[in-house]
Amino acid sequence: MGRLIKRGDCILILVCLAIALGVFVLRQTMAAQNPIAYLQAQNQPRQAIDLTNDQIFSAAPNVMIEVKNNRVRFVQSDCPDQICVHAGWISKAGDSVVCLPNQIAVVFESGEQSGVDGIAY
Amino acid sequence: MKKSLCRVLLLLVAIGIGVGIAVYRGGISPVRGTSQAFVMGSLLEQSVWTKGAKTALTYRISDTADAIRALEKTLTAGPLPADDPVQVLCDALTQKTSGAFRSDLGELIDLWGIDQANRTPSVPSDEDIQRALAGHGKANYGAVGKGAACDAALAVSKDANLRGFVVSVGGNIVTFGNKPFGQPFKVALRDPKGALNDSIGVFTLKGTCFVSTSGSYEKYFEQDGKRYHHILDGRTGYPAETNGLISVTVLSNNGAVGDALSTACFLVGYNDAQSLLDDYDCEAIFIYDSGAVRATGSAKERFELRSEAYHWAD
Repeated sequence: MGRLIKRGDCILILVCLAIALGVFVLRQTMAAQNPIAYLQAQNQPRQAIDLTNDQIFSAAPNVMIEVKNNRVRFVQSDCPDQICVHAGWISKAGDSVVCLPNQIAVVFESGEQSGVDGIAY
Repeated sequence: MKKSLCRVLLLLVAIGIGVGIAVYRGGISPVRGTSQAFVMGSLLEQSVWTKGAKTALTYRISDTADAIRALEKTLTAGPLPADDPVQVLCDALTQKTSGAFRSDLGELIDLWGIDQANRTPSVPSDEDIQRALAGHGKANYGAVGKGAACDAALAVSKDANLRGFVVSVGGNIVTFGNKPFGQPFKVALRDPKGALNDSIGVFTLKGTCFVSTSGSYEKYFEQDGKRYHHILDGRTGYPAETNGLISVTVLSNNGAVGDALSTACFLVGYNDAQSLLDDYDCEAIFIYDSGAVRATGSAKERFELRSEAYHWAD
C-alpha cells in the first residue's frame, strides 16, 4: 500500500504510451506512403490527381498532363515559354509545376515530411 | 480491490483512445491546410496551421485572393497618390539609387515586353528605348506589387484566429505566427541556376517575416548570344549590368519594402546595397553566377546553405 507506483499503474502507462505511439506511427506512415497531388486549374476548386491510375488527361483545351508510376508531368502545352513542359516529371512532396499563361498548376502537397513550408523565388 | 483497479484501468484506456482519436482527427492538434489560386499573373499558395479544425473551414484562400485582386486593381489603375505609402517608398528608393529604381517605367517595360507571357520579346532600338525612358509617364508597380500583396494577405489573416501561416505570391513569402510546439517556419530558396524544384538552401524564420527575391534568372530572353533579363535600370533603359550578381533575396518586416528593396539592391549591387538595407532595417542574401553567396547582417545565421554548387564568400 505504501508504494507510489503500483503494478496496475505501470500497465496503464504502458498502454497509454502504446496508443500514442500507434497513432503517431499511423500518421507518419500514412503521410509518407501517400503523397497527394492536386490539379489547380484557373481559380476553380482544386482536384486531387489519382497517382495510382496511369493516364494522360487534358487540364485545359491545349494542356495535356500525364500520370505514370506515381509521377506527374506536363506532356504538352500551347504556352510560348514551355516552362511547364521542360520541368519534366515531379513526384516529391513539395514539388510543383506551374503553367502561368494557362493558369494550370500541379502541386504535390508539402506535408510535414518534406521539411519545408514554402519556396521563395 | 482488484476489481476497482481494473475498472479505473479500463476507464483510462478508453480516455487514452479518445484522446488519440481526437489528436488524429485534428480536433486538438493544429490542422495544416494548403491551397492555391492565381492572382497578379502568378501562383498564390497558402499553408495554414489552425488552432482547431473549425478555423480551417472559415478561413479560405478566396478571401486572400480577393484582397490581392483589389490591390492589383489599384496598382494597375495608374499612378498612386503621392502620399500613398507604396508611392512614398518608391520615390525614396528612386532618390537613394540615383534613379536606377523607378515606379514610372511603364512605357519602357511595355517596350521591352519581357514580362508579357504571350509575346516573343526582342531588343528594341536605342532610339525607342531613349524615347520611352524620357516619357516617364506610365506607372508600373511590378517591383513592389507581390510584396504589397503579401502585406494584404497578412492583413486578411489577422482576423482569422490562426496559429500560423505561410503565403507565397509568386515566390514572395510572408510568414506569421508559428507551427505546432512553437517550431519555426522553413522556407526554401529556389536555386537560380537549377531546375524548377531545386533549392540552394533553407531559411529558418520566426513570427512575421517577409522574403522577397529579385533575379535575372526568372524572366529573360536571349538574342545574338546575349541574355536580356527583366530588371530594367532607370538610368540606362537597359537590363541592369550586375557584374555576375544573379539574385538578391531580402528579409524584411514589410512586404512592399522587402520586394522593392530586392529590386533596388539588385540594381545597385552589394556595396551600395548596404546603406539601403540599413535604412529599412532589412537583411539580404546575394547570389553570384560564380556560385559565391554573400549575406548582410544576421541573414547568414538564418540561412542554411545546402547546395554544393554554392559557397559562402565575404
